[in-house]
Amino acid sequence: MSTQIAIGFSRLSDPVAAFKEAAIQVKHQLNAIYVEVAVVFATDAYTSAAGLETLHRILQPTHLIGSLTPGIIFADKIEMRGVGIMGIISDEWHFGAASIDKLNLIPLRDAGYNLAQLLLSDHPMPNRNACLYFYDGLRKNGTLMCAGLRDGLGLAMPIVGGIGMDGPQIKHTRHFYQTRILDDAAVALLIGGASVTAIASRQSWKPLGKPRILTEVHGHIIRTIDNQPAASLYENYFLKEGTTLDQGRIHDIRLLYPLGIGTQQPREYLIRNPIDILEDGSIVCQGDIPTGSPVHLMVTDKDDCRQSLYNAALDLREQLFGKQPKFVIVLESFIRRNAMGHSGPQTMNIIRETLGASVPVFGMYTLGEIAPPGSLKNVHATQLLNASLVLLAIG
Amino acid sequence: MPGITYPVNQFDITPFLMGSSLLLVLIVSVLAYFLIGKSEEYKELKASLAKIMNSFNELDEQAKLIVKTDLELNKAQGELDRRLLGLNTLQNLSRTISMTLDEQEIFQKINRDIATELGFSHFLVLTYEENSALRTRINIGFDTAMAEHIQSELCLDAEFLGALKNGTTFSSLNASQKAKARIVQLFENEHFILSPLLTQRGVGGILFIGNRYNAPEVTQGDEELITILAGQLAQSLENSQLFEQVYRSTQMLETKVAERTKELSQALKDVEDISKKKSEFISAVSHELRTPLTSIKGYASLLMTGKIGAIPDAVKERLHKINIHSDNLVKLINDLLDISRIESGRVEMKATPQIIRPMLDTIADLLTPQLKEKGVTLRLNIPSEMPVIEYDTTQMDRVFINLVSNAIKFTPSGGAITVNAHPNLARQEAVFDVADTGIGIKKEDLIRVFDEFYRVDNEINMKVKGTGLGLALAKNIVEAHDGRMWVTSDVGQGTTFHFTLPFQHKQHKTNPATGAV
Repeated sequence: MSTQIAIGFSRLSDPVAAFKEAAIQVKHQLNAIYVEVAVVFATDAYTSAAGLETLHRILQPTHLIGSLTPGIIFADKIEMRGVGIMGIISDEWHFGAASIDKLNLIPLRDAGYNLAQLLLSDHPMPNRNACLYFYDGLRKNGTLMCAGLRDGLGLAMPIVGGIGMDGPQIKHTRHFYQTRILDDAAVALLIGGASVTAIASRQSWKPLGKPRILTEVHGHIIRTIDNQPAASLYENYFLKEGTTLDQGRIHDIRLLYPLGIGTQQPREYLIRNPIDILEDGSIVCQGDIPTGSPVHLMVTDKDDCRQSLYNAALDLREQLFGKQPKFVIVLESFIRRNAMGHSGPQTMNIIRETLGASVPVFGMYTLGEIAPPGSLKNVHATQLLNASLVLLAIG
Repeated sequence: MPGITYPVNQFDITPFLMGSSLLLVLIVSVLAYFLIGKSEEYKELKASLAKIMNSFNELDEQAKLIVKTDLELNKAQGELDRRLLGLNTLQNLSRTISMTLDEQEIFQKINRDIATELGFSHFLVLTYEENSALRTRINIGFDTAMAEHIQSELCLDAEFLGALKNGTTFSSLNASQKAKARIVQLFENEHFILSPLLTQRGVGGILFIGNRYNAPEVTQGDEELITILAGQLAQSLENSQLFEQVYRSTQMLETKVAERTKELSQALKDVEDISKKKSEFISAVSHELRTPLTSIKGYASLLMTGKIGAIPDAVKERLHKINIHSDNLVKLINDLLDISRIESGRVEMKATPQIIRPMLDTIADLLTPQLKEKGVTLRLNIPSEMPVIEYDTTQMDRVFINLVSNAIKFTPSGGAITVNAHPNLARQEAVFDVADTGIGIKKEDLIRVFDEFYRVDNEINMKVKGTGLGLALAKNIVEAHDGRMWVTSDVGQGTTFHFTLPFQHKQHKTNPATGAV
């Protein structure tokens, strides 16, 4: 009974050659004819269908899912250009994978449910331990997608997800499923068998300035704050006298200062990224927001980000009872990357320092994260998080 | 029905009313007191709320300051990150391009990834051709038509090119309004750096790097970075051009050497052909001369015997001279024939294993009369460990006799001739020296002493007759044994002829791989 994990990476200029090089690295490490699962993270210049076909020729994966990302995270480095592949072979785990596209044409909750049904049909075994999924969350309400998935898989199913993105410009996203590159889609992998799942999510944001009240909210769109157009919150802090806050500047600012919505627990905030600002000053977020709640502008720094990573790694270690996991998937908000600056790569060492020097670490930067808040014990409250760090460990 | 009457004053309600009034007054008073108290509390609360709101507003003002500082820090951090990435890229690029001397390869190394890592979307490099025209070498981000347009426009802009030739770097940060407008209009990039590629010979080209609209502004750091890149690129291009020049020169030299070698080979072949024809001619002529000479010599000898009839002494004396001259002529012809045969390879050296000492002793005995007559001493220094050598005894006899006779001829009375021999085991050959204490040979004559018929112009040669073939023949024989012969001499001190002989003659050498002969 064994499970082997291998990770390959290439940043060769030619995407097909890069896929080939990374796949060969995985194949050499695993020394296997085919892999059960390939998880692919690629940056914008590497979303190549020919590259995926090359990967299939070399690794012959039974299941392949992946996502476009602005950066690929490894145990000791972060690559902002290239393609990374994680290959899994196992005779103790079993997998199912599914995809669903044309999300614009169906209600998101239904889409999530349908995706869950497809996953279950591809994974008929009873002991399902975790679901990893990626979806196109640009200008969509991720809460609904997550709710639909939970409807289908059950509220106790540990779900971890990420919203892919192209880069700071946030213009498009792509997902990989088998040999296809999908737009406006979601892809998911179900992991089952003799495995232990641990999930830790952390945010490191602190409130800034006085609280304001969300006076009008429609789902994931904030219309007014303190009875003023929602964007006035940003204008209040960032508008210089005699100027207007243009879209470009709002774009930059929202990547540094998300919104923190007060919860029933003191000092706990639901973080939301503004992904768009409408002409009437409404702020579009990626997930549901409760009306009447206080809202703050949030801020973080390197130390807090580093501490949150360390806390998340410690949490994983506790959940695994000190046992070294087979691999760790990192889904980290791109906004946190901005806060970390060039010290990001060194910070990732914390995972191995905490969980084991040889743990394979593979991750991506995201525009939104789906996970139980805090740790797996809050699995019943799995939801869309923003500006957070999520670690998924399978041991 | 009798009416019921009640006494008006049966119940006096006055006390009740008074009590109620008092109670009411009391209640009102309490309420008033309470309200006054609440009002005070409300006022206090309102004042507190106002204070809290003030605090919040102050907090907000402080938050604005924090945000402002944080934004500046983020900006600085972003700039630092960009600088670090740019420096890292520049370092890698510098290392890569300095490792190649191929101009084309240098340009290929600068690709879109490099431009992106430097933080720019557009990258253009133009270099000056030999005819002073600009040529696009790297184009990232511009379409071909646009690049051609920029190239042609730049060629016409003398003022602009003049400024670049002075080494000026233009950037959207520091360029004058006029220059900035011109560059933005030409390159359609709002944020840019335009730097000359300065070489030791002047401006070798132009490097443009830029971003279109909505991109971060160019910083002083960017400008410094790109100026360094331009310098590095110019240096690498200059190195590659120098290498190209050296390479071309080498190629031309090699071509010339090859041509000359071919000419010399042809000349050598011609010389060999001529030499062969000469040998054939000498051989033919010698054959033709020897037959009648034999007859002449025979008749002269017959006449001298007197069998045909008595001859007077004077005639006998003439006949004797005819005989001597005929002998000399026969020897001359024989030598000539031998030389031509050896040169043409028609004479096979019949090499057999020999011990050299007995042969030299015999030669010494043979030449003893001449040595005694001249009063010259002959010493043979042949070490006892001298190995067996394979050679043709007849031919080597001639070599030693020629060399020793020659030495006797040029060594004055009382002088000495020494024959030395020693083995050179490293080269598997024997080395012989025949040294005299004679008059020596001038330096200019040394190179010709082995030429056929060449006789050094000196007093002795004027007195003693000779053919000038002896040394040529000796050298030919030694070389036919795969040996070498050369001469050293000091005028007035003596001359030494050196030659080598392989221990094993080539015809008897075994193949090291097969052991076969």
